[in-house]
Amino acid sequence: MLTDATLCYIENASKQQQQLILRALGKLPIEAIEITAPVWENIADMKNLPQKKYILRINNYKAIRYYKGFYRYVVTAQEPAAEGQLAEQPMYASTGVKCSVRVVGLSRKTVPDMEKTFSQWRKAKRDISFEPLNSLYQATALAFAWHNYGGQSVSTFCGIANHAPLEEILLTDYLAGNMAAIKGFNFTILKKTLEAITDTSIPANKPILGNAIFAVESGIHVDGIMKDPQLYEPYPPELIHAKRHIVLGCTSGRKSIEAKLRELKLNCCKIDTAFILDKVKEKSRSLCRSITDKEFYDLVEMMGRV
Amino acid sequence: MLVPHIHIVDTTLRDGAQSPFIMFNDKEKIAIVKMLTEKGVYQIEAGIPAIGKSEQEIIKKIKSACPNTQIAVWNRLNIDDINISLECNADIIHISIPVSYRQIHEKLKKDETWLLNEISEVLSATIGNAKEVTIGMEDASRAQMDFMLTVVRKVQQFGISRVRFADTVGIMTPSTVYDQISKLIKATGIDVEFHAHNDLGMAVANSLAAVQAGASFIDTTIHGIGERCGNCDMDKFIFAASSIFNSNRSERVKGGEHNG
Repeated sequence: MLTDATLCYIENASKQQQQLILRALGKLPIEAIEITAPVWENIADMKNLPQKKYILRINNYKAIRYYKGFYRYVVTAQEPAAEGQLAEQPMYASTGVKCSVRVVGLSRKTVPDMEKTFSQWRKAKRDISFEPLNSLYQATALAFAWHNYGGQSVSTFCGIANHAPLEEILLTDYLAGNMAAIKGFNFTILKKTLEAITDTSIPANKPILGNAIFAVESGIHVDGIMKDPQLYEPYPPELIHAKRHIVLGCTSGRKSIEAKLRELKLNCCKIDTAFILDKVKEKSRSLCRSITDKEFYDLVEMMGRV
Repeated sequence: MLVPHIHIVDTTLRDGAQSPFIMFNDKEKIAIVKMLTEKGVYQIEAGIPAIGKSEQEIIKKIKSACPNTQIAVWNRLNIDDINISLECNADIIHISIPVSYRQIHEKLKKDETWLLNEISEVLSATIGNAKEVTIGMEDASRAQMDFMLTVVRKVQQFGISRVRFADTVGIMTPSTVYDQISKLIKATGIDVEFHAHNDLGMAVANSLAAVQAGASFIDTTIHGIGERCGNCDMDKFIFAASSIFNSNRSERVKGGEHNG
C-alpha cells in the first residue's frame, strides 16, 4: 500500500500546479494521497477530485474538528509539543477517528536489519505507516520492503524532501510482478510540473525520470540490445513513455555504427563501418565527449557516403 | 554491529566511462587513479583493453604512473581479449562470464555446456600468465543459483578465489541481494564482490545488504556515474557504510597497497 506525500512539500506552488500534481498522482496505482490543510484549501473545489483516500497532515489534534471526512489524519509536531498532544489522542479515538502509528526516519537501519522489525510490526496487527528518510540512501529500499510486507509506505515524487522516490517504488513493485494489470507509467506531467515548481532540472541519470537513462554508448551493450533489448535494460523504455537512444563515442562498436546508420536512414550497404568507427572514436577523443547525430551525419557526408 | 571489512573496487574508468556523455582524457584518467589511490581504494578497474590501442596505451600509462595501485582490466570470456590485456601490465585480469539463460542463449547464442567448456579453455590459458584472475558473473541477478554454483565451483578448480556478482540491469532489492549472496558464500566459501546498478535507486542499499551477507568487495564509481542510472556511488556508500556499521576507523576501507 502506497501513500504519496508530495503535496505536503509544495505548499508554495500555485493552485494550478498543485491541481496538476494531484491529477497526475490520481492516475498512478497508489492508495492514498497525503496533503496539508493549505493544500486542501487549493484543491477542495476541484472538479473530479481523483478517487483516492485522502490523508490530512495536521500539527494539532484540534484541527480534526475543522477538516472532517478525511480517511486519516497524521499529526506532526515538534517533540515537546508532541508529548502533550499524545494525551489528547484517546479522546479522538473514542470519537471514531482512526488512530495509527507513523514511523518516520529509521535511515540508519538496512533492509536486512529491518526484516525482524517488519515482521513484528505485522504480527502486532497495528496500523503502522512507514515514512523512511533518505539520509543514508536507503529510503526506496526500506519503503519498498515495508510495502512488500503489506504495510503502508509513504513516499514523494522524485524523492523530494529527502523521501523515498515514489516512481522507484512503483517500478520496483512492477518488476516484482505485483502490478500485472498495469500497462505503463506516465510521469511526464509530474516531472515537468515539479521542475517548474522547484526551478531545477531532474538529473539526466535519475532512476526512472532521467532523460538519458535509455541512452547507450557501449558497443558491447548496443550489440546486446540489438539482439534482445532485455539483455541490458531493466524494463522497456516504452513502459515509462521513454525512448532508447544510441550514442556514438569512444566505447562504440561496429554494431553501434550500423544501428545509427539505420536510425538516420542512411544506406549502409556500401559503407565501411570499421573505417567510420575509427573516425568516430578519433573525433570523440578529440572533442572529449560523445558525438551528436548531426556530427555523425557530417562525418559520413564528408566521406561522400550520403 | 560488527564492523565488516570492505574493499572498495572502483570502476569509474571502466563501467563509469560507459556512461554516455561522460568521457575522460588521458590526463584526467591518471589524475583520477592517483586520487583514488590516495583515498585508499583497494583496486581500480582501469578499462577494457579489447576496445583498442589507445585504451591499451592509457592502461599502461596508468600502471606506470601508479605502480602500487592494484589495476584491473575487464575482459570478455575470449582468449584474444585476454592476450591483449596481458600486455597491459595490469595486476588483475577480470573475466566477465554471462551466467543468465538470457545472456547465454540470446546474446552468445550458445548453451551452458559450451560456456563451461569455454571457461576451462580460457582459464587454462590464462592462469599462470596473469598475476591474479577474478571472475565476473554477468547478469547474476537474473541467473539460476544452481548454475551460478556450478560456474563458481568450476572456476575454483583453477584457483580463482573471488567472483563478482553483477546486478547488470539493476533490478535487485536488498532482500534478494542478501539471500543470493548468503547462499553463494555458504555453498562455496568464495570471496564475493558485489556490483550494483542504480536503475531502481537501490545501488547503495543493495551494496550494504551485500556486505551484511558476507561480500567483502564492493564496486563503486565516483558520483555513481555509469550507464543508464549509474553504479553505486562511492562517497554515498562509504558514508552510509561507516554510519551504519558504526565505525569511523580508516581501515574500514582497505588500502591500495596489496596487504592481503
